[in-house]
Amino acid sequence: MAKWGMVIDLDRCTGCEACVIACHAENNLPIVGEEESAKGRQHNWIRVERYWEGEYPHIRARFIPVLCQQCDHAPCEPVCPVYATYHNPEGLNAQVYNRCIGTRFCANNCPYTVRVFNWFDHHWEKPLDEQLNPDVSIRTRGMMEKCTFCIQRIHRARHQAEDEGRDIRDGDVQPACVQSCPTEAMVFGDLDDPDSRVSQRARSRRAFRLLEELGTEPSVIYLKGDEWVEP
Amino acid sequence: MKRREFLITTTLGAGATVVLQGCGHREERLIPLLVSEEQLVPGAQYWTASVCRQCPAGCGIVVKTMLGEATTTVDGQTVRVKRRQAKKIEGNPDHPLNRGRLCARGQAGLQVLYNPDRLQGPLRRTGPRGSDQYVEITWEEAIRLLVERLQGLRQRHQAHALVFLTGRLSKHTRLLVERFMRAYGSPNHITYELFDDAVERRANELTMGREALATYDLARARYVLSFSAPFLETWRSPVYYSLGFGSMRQGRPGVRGKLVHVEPRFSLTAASADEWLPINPGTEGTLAMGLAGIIIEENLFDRAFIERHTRGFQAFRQLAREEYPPERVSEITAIPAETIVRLAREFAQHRPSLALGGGAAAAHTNGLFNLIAIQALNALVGNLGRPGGLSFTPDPPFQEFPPVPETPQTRESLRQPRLDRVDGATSIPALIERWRSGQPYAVDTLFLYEVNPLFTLPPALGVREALQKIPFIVSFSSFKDESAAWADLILPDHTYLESWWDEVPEPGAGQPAVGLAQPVVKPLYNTRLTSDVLLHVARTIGDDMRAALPWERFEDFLKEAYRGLHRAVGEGGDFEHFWEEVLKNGGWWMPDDQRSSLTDHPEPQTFDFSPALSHRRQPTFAGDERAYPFHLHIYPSIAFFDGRGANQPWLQEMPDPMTTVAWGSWVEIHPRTAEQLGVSEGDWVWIESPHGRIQAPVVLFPGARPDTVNIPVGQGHQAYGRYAKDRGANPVRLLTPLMEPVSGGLAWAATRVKVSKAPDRGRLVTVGYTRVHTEAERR
Ligand code: SF4
Ligand code: SF4
Repeated sequence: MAKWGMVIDLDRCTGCEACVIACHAENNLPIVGEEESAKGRQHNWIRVERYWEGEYPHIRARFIPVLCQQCDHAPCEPVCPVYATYHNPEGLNAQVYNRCIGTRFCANNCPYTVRVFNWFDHHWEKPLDEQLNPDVSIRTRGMMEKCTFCIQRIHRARHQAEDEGRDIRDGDVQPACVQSCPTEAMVFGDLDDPDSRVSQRARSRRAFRLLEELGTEPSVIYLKGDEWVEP
Repeated sequence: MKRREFLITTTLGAGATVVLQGCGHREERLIPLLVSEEQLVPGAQYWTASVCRQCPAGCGIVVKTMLGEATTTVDGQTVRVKRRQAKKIEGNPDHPLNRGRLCARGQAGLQVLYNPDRLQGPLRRTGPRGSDQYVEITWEEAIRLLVERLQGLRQRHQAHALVFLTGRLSKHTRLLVERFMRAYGSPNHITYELFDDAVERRANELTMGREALATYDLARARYVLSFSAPFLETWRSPVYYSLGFGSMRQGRPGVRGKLVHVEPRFSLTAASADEWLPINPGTEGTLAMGLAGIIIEENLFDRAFIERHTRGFQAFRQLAREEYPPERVSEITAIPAETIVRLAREFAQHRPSLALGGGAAAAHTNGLFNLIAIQALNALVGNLGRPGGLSFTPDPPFQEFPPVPETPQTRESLRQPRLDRVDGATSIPALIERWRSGQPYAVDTLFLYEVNPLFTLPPALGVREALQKIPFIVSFSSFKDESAAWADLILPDHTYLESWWDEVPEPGAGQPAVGLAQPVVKPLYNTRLTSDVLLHVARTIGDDMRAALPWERFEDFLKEAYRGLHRAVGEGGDFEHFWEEVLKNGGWWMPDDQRSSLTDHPEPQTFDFSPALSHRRQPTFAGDERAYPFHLHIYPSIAFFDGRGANQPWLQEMPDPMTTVAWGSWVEIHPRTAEQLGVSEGDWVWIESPHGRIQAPVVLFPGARPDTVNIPVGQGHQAYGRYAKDRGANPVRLLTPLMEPVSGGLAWAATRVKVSKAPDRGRLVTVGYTRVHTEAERR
């Protein structure tokens, strides 16, 4: 049984948002348009936050891609009255769409504000709908949704490994964001396997987790931006 | 990335059947031509290799396809059909340029294919130009109209009056267009890109004898000094350079490279730098000369390299010493003298160190000087053709097609002067002026392909009036963009995922490579590959053209080219097998094991310093400083590049990484400047140059120079479909068409503007996120 996790190296991340579009394309995220965007109702399972630091001309900007942290102690889970959000055995914080009744308690309780609510049914202008990924269900009005670590890709990789009579290998599963990232800032894999790339990177002295002090125990580990030191 | 299994066989015999009836979990590469849609297993995913066409970089892609249901119209009836559908684009893990990675635009490519505003068949104009009145016609009629026109021109000995204006075309498509024009008898195949590369090519030719774009090996560099080239977002090959950047930063145990970025605007690339220097616009070359002066003065240069591989060093040394002392350079560039001294030492002492210049540094009247001075830094530290240095990627060994001979029909017209040439140099202003004046000869027919002059050329050139003078305009655009909406005939091309084409990436990744694109899905509509239309027209016009272009379809032309490649790379075996491998792999590239020997011991290069003396000049700006107090810094948007991405809703909805703006335009103004102007975030302002004015909402941008306003290019379309049309403003409209005189590059960074309050025109959509930033991140 794997324990899926992700490492995001902020010293590599440029804030380019390839991960954001990759996620839209993979996970059938709707386009909400200008009006809804202005109301802060964009559907993003991953977003890139930008922070300014310093004063001109010594200005710096920092980027942090934020997605569901797949917490081990997930604050969203216990508040769901119908168990639509639950913890799966591989450490994924999963959302059962057809159980969800739209109370939005989970979103209120998520300190990372990564959950997105479907205020409406969504519409794809034809033939844009031909692109939709049949491996991912379309969410309808009243459902809560969020990043799944591309669980459909985990399933595909597992089935393929089973067909070939072997275990899943490190690198077999790449969520869409990880796969696209032009700087290789993101790595995904089994945190229980000490030799996996994700475990290796997670041992960095630069590792930290978002809002660690809340005790949520996220499965997403960040590596903080490094400084150049004159060798 | 797991290497996908390549299991498709040539015939549809046993092998293919086994694969196709497989479990459906495997990721299989498929050549769509060899496997019909009926054979696809529902629910199974198949991958087809192709090439990205969202910018000129040429990244390799693989496209996930599945069998799916769609509604379509057959004989006026709406029916449901099962067909192969493209579901997801990913980077081709084997392609040496992008190694499985893609940028946001590359990810969005499916919204080109499935765009609801695609043109669905050929159109002929019926109302006045610009009235948007068209009727559908058949391809037979379209070809007939074209052929009649072209035959008539030839009979009147006016073949040169055909002008083929294109963007930077892909490898063999360009060769075909060139052959077509030569065989027809016109010297006027002319290329225009707003964000072009003419200045860099010329700088490299003058200094290194290579009229080509340089490859910068960021991954193995320890120190990178970039001058106004936004290489992590839009410049040249952003995915290749992002990969290199990631490795430079954290790819080598114990070594973390440093990036210093010099640019008038705090771009996304500046944001990733360890240090940003907001330089005075157009003075990048002066800074490079100042750095060179210190490196020379302090004896930090690579003496052995200078002696063996360079020319003109003594005069250059004297120039740097006498004209570019740090204090003077500091005055001109606005970079403190101590910083200049420190950077020079760091650059020289942390080798391999790279200097790379482009973007706005090249887009000035002195852009050529800027780039020459920047390249001189690479020569000073001996970093040409070394790991972590600058090199020129060799082309794959395609064999040349026999040249098209002159014929009695073409001899005279081919010798007519090219309309974009002035004393041997390219000049787009001269081209437009000649269209307008009809001198030295009038243009009769204009073909537009992968170019949108009514959007990307400054209107101050009089583009619209010039087009009005041309009797017959044909657009091959897949969409009704601004220029297609002006055309007499629109013959829509397939989109890139439905097409045959190929691309040799330039700059490449150090090893010879070509990406090949095959139709991933069947064309959705009644469109036609422009290359096929040209072949059809050519063979219908006459026997001489048929002799020069004997191929029935472009695919045959490509295949012949790859036969030559097959012979040259001597892989033996049978060509059909090689061809299938190329189709499965998405191209051909030199294997990795042969590559290292090639890039680590490249051809010796010599560097000539003397062009730094002969091309030295100061930037000039359009617009009086008192009347127009601000510099205008335009830049290609990370979402839309030069505007071509604006019809894709994913890209419209993507928050701009620096400003979080979605679905619109904005102007970036320094907070102090905004205060002086009495405007705040979201207020609308006029931005006015000597040539025009536009409106946009203000973004208070802490990374703007107080004397400069920044506006992204990409929005402000007046056509181009529902997502792009009437949204935002196009800053190209403000440009004064100044040029870099030697290369003919447009100096798009040299216009000055004034800013004033405008009436409110609606909201600025910013995507304000709740922030989860913690102190931990800064520890
Ligand atoms: S794709 Fe990679 S580099 Fe770009 S924003 Fe996402 S994590 Fe950062
Ligand atoms: S850089 Fe981006 S847009 Fe350009 S070819 Fe590569 S993936 Fe496509």
